[in-house]
Amino acid sequence: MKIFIASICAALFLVQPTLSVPFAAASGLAAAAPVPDDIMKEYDETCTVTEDSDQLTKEELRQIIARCNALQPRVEKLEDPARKVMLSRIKRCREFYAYLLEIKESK
Amino acid sequence: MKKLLFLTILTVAVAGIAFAEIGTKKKRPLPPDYGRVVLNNFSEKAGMAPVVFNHWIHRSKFSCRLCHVDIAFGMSAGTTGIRATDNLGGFYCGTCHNGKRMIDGKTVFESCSKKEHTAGTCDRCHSLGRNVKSEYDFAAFAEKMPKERFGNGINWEKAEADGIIKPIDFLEGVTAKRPPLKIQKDFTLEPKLGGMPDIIFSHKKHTGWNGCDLCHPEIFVGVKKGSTKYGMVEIIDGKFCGVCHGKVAFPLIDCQRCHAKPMQ
Repeated sequence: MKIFIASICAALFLVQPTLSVPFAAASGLAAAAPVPDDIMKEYDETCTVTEDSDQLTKEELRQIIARCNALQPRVEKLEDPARKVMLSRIKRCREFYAYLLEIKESK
Repeated sequence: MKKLLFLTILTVAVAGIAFAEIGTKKKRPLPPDYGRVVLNNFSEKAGMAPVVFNHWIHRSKFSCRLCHVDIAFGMSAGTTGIRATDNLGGFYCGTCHNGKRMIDGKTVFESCSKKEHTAGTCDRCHSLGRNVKSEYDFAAFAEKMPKERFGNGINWEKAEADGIIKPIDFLEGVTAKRPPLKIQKDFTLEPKLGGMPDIIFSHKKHTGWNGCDLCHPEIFVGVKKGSTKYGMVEIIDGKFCGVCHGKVAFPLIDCQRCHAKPMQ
């Protein structure tokens, strides 16, 4: 009988729904540091030609990729989440230009 | 004794099988729930209900590119790792949900507010398992939208083409100003399965929502058409087209949306 009761408890544990717990007050949270203006400016200048990208020469694409590579270590020194967000944006930007360069080189 | 032991094993086994998540059959979500994402990297650890994010209300106002490239939200649930401090700093949800940004003439409410919490303040987002009345009613919203069979039941493509929705692709202070997009040509893809109509892929329809860098090269890495081999198995597994289609964009059971080239 004890074993049966224990098995019922085990079965109930398996089907237990997620408990709704009272929320904790989010007091005392400090806002994250913003992205420095000089880094945003460099990113904006480097990564805004996406839409005319198929007009770019191979050399122009290599220069843009080099600018992304130079910007990345500066961004890695930032604190999260600025670091995470900008790394994601630079990564997408750099990989897209590298992709375009690969297309041009494959022709 | 043997009967009791048998009953014990049977009870545990049945409960385990009934609630085990095995196999590939999934329950089709209801239209309001299609594209719903539950975020729980840190919520429960902080003593709060997980966040429920509804794509339908956000995609009616913003392009996919704005959120997933400029604001850098991940393409899968839980991959961004959003914290309250991030939102307070104006990142992620806090990019718009800051109590100041105006969208469609309305001030967007502040997420993770530092002000004293009143009942229901946090529940607006941290709503999983809670009986929270949403400000936006899906039925009222969907009523004026062009209809589609699956997913949200809304033909988002037609809604945009007809000007019913005008997704924003630029946010001041977030998006770099860039020249208008040059659209790549549409093309056809031959399916692996003989007898199925060819797929017509429209760059125009996709770049309007995604730009170029959301898909290339992260999702589609091939530099020549046809160089990347994939089929429905990979797509259903959440790769390639399946990164979006089946989760937020129209689901994969709507075959003729893609397999659209008339058969000869």
